[in-house]
Amino acid sequence: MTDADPHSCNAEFANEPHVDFAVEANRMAMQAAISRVGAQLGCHCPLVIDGESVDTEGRLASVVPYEFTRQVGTTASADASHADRAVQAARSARADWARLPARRRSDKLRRLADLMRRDFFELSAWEVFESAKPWREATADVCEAIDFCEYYAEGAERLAACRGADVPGEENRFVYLPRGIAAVIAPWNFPLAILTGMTAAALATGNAVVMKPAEQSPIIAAKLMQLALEAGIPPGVLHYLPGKGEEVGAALVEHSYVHLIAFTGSREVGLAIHARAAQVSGKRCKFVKRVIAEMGGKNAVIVDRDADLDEAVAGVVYSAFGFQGQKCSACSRVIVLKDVYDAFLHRLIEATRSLPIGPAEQPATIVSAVIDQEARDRILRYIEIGRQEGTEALAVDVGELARSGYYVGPHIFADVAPDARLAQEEIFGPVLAVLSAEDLDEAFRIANGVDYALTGGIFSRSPAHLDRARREMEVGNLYLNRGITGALVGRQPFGGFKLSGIGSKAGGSDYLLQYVIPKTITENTMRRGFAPPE
Amino acid sequence: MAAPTAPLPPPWESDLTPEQLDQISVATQDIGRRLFDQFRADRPRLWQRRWWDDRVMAWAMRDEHLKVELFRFVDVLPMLKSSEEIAGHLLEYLDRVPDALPWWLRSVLGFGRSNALTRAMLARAATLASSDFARRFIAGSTTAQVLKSARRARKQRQTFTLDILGEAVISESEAEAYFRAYVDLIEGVAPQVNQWPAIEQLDQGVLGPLPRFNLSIKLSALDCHFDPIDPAGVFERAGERFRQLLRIAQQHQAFINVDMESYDKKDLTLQIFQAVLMEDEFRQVADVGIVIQCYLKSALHDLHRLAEWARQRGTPVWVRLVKGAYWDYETVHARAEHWPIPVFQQKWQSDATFERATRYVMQHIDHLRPALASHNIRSLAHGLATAQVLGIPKNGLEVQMLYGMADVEKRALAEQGYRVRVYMPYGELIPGMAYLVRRLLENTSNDSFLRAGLYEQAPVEVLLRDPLASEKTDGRRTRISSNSPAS
Repeated sequence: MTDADPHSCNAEFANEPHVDFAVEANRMAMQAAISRVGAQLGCHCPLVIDGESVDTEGRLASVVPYEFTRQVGTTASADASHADRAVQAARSARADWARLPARRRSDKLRRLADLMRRDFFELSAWEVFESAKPWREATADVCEAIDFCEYYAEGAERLAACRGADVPGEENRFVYLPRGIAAVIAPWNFPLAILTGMTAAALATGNAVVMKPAEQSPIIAAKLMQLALEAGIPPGVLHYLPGKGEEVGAALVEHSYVHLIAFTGSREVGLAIHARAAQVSGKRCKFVKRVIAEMGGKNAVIVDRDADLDEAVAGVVYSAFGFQGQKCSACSRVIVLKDVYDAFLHRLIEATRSLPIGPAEQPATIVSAVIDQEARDRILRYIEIGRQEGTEALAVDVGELARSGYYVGPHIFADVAPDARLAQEEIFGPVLAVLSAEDLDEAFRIANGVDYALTGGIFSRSPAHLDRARREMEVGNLYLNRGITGALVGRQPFGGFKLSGIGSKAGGSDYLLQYVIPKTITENTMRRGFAPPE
Repeated sequence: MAAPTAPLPPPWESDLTPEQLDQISVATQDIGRRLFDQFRADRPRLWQRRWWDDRVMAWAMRDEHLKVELFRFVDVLPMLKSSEEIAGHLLEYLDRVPDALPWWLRSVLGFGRSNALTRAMLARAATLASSDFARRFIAGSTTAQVLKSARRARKQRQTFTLDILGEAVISESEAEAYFRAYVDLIEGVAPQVNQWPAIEQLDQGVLGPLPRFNLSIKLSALDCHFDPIDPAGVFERAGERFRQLLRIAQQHQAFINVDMESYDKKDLTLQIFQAVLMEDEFRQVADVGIVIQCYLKSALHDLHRLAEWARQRGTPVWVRLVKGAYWDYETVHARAEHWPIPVFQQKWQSDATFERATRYVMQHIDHLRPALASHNIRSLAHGLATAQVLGIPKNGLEVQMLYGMADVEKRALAEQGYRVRVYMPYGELIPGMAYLVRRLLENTSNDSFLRAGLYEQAPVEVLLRDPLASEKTDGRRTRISSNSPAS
C-alpha cells in the first residue's frame, strides 16, 4: 500500500465487472448454464465436517420458489451434535491456520475467487433456481462474492503488516490475532455473496469457520463449500452445516468454543443472538462472545420538488421491486414533496405496473416469486394491513402464476401516514408505501422516524438540499440521485445502525477489525546499557 | 465477467485506390476552402441574437466547472415553479464555482442573496436566457410550431426530419403514448406537408422522388423494457410497433429514420431494423434509414454487416453517418462498470472513422445511401469530394444538420445545390432538457469543431486537416473528459 489515495478506501482493489448482457456471448453463456444446472436439480448435499461428508436422517428440501413442485435439491440437516463435532475439529485445526502468514491465507481466498470466476455462470444459475434471482441479480451476487474474497484477502495482508512505535531501547509491536472460531449464520437473499463475505473475512484474518447457511438456500452454499476445499482451505478450518436455525444455529451461538458470531438476517433473530451470546459469555465460555449483526431496514427515498422524475421513478421502482423487494437495502417508503406528489405517483404506478413478472430463469424477468410460503403469507398480511392504512394505488395480480410459485405482485399504497405499520415495519417484499411531505423538514423527519438506519436516498437537484440530506439523513448508506440498492464492495461499504445492525461495514476497510483481537508487544531491548542500532 | 465479442477486422481492404484517395484529398481541400470563404462573409453580427449566444457560450466554456454548474442549472430549470426557487438554484450552483465568475457578477449575485427584487430579476433573466437557448435548439413545443419551422426551412431550400422529444419511456402506457404520438404525427402532418410545393433540390433523389415528410424515431420509445438482455421479447413488442409505423408511413408517403441512442441499445436496434425490413411485406420499402455512430469502435464492422444485409435484401436503405452524441455517457458508464469503453478515446479516431465510413457507404451506393450528418466541414468536404470522385450526383446524397446549429454551413451547402436536411426536435421543455444539454455539451466541448471554427476561429488549414494526420501530432490532447465527437 504505497502511494495510496487518501480519499479512497481501496487503492488496488477493483470490483469484478458486472455481466454486460448486451453482449450476445454472455446471454448465451447464461442460458447454457441454466440448462446445464436445470438438469442437475434434485441433487443431495450432505454436511461437510472436517472435510468429510456426513449425512443425516433429517433433511432440508430446497425448492424453486417460482415453481415449488420442482426441487433444487436436498441437504442433510445438522443438529447440536454436528455443531459440536465441527467446532471440535475447528479447535484442532485453527492454530495451524492462524500461524500461516497472512499472504498464504489470502492466496487461498484469491484462488477461491478464481474458481468462482471459472464457474461463474453455473453459480449464477444455481441462484436463479434456488433464490428466484433474475439474471442480473444472480450474476451480480456472484460478482460480489468474488469481490469479498479479493477485498478481504488484500485487507488481511494490510492488517498483518508490521506496525509499532519504537524508541531507542524499546521495541513496540502491535499485532492482530484471530479471535478463534467463527460461526457464520447467513441469509438467503444474497445466498452466495453474504455467506462468502462473512466467511472470507473470518478466514482471511486466521479464524476457523462453521458455516450455517439459510434454510432456503443450502445448495448454493454447498457449492461454495466445494470450491473452498478445491481452493485449498484446510478441511478442519471450514465446515458446512445446513440445518434449522433453532437447532444448529442456536447450538453454535451457545457453544463454549465459538468466539464470534457473524450474522446477517432479521432483527428478531439478530437481537436474540446478541442477547444469548451475552448470557453465555463468562459462564460456559471464558471470553466475551463477539457478535456482528446486520439486520433489517425500512429504507426511504425522498423525492424533492425539483427532482428529475425520469430518474426518480426508475430509481425507486428498481430499488423497491428489484428481486421482489427482498433486499435489506430495498426501498419500502418513498416520501414525496407535495408539489410533485401526483405527477410522481402516477408515473410510479404506471412504471411498476409494467414490470415483467415471471420465472427468474427468463431473461426479461424483473419480478419473480418471493422466497417461500412463509414469506408470501407475511407479505399478504401486510398488504391486508395496507388496505386499512392507506390507499391501494396499485395491486398487480399475478394470476395463474400464484398456483405454481410463491408469487406476490407489486403493491403500492399511497397516502400512508408516517406512523402506520406499513411505514414502520420491515415487510421484505414487493410492497411500497408512498408518503407525502409538506416540505423537506417534514420529509427528513419522516425518513428518520423509524427504528432502522440502513439505506436511504434523495432525488434532488438543489445542492443545498443535498447537503442537508448528507447531514440529516440517519442511514448507514446514503444515496443521492440514484437508486438505494446494489452497494459495491470497496466502493460503498455496506451496513447500518440503530436497529439495522451494530454499525459495521461489510466491504469496508475497517470490517476485518471485528474478526481480530489486537495485541501489543513491548520488548526492552537494552542489555547492560547498550541497545541495538535503530 | 464481461467477455466482449472480438470485433471482426474492419473492411479496410476494400478502400478506394491510392489514386482516388489522392484525388479526394485534393478535392476535400478545395471544397472545404470554398465553404469557408462563404461562411466568413456570413458571420453573426453584433446586432443579431446569434452573436450574443456565441458570446455567452464562449464565456461558459472558459471554465469546465462553471460549465457543469450552468448546464446543471439549465437541466433543472423547467421543473422550478417560482422565481424564488429559480434564483435559489442559480445561486446554489454558482456558489460552487466562485472563482470562475467575474467580479461584477459576483457582486450582483451577492446582492441577489439578500434582496427579493434582485432575486426576482435574476430569476427572470436566467429563465429568459435559458428558454432562448432552448428555442434555439428546439424547433417548437407543438406540432403547429414545428411545422412553421419546417416551412421556414423549406423557404431557405432546406428540408427537415422531425423528432419528438419525450420523457424516458418507463411504462407500457408511456410507450403506447409515444407510439400514438408518432402515428398522429404521420397521419396528421404528412398529408399537409405533401401538399406543399415540390422543390426539386430537396424532393428529387437520384432514384426518384423522396418523401417530403421525414420522421426520426427511437425504437426504445416503443417499448418500456428495451433491454438487450431479452432480444426476443423486445423484438416482439417494439418490432410490432415498428411494423405498424412502417405501414402508416407507406400509406402517407412518409420517410422513417431509426435513430441510435446509447451503445447498449445499438445491436438490438440494428437487429430489429434489419429483421423487420427483411420481411416480405417491407422488403421493397426504400424510404427508411438507420444511423451509424462513428465514435463507436464497432462502427465499420456494423456498417459492413449492414451493407451485406442490404445487398441480400435488394432494396437500398439510407445510412445517416454521425459521430455520436453520448460520448461522455459511454465513457463514464463503461469506466464505472469496468467494461471495455465502446467509443474511441481520441477525437481524430472518430473523425477518421467517419471518413472511412463515408467512403464505404459511397462505394456501396447501390445498397446504402449516404446521409452525412455532421457540422464538421472537414468531414463534410471529404464526403462531398468522395462523391465527386466516384461520380455520385448531388442528389444522390444528403447532408443533415441539427436545428439551431451551424446555420451558416446549412446556407452555404444549400446554395451549392446540396440537399440539406435539418434535424428538428420538438416538444415540451422538461423532456427537451436532456436533448438541450447534449447540444450544449457538443457546442462547448474542447474538441468541438464548432467551438474551434466559430468561437475560436482556428485557421482553415488546421480545420481542414486530415484526421489521420492528427494521429502523430495530437499528443497534446490528453484531456478526454469532454471529447464530444458529434460536431
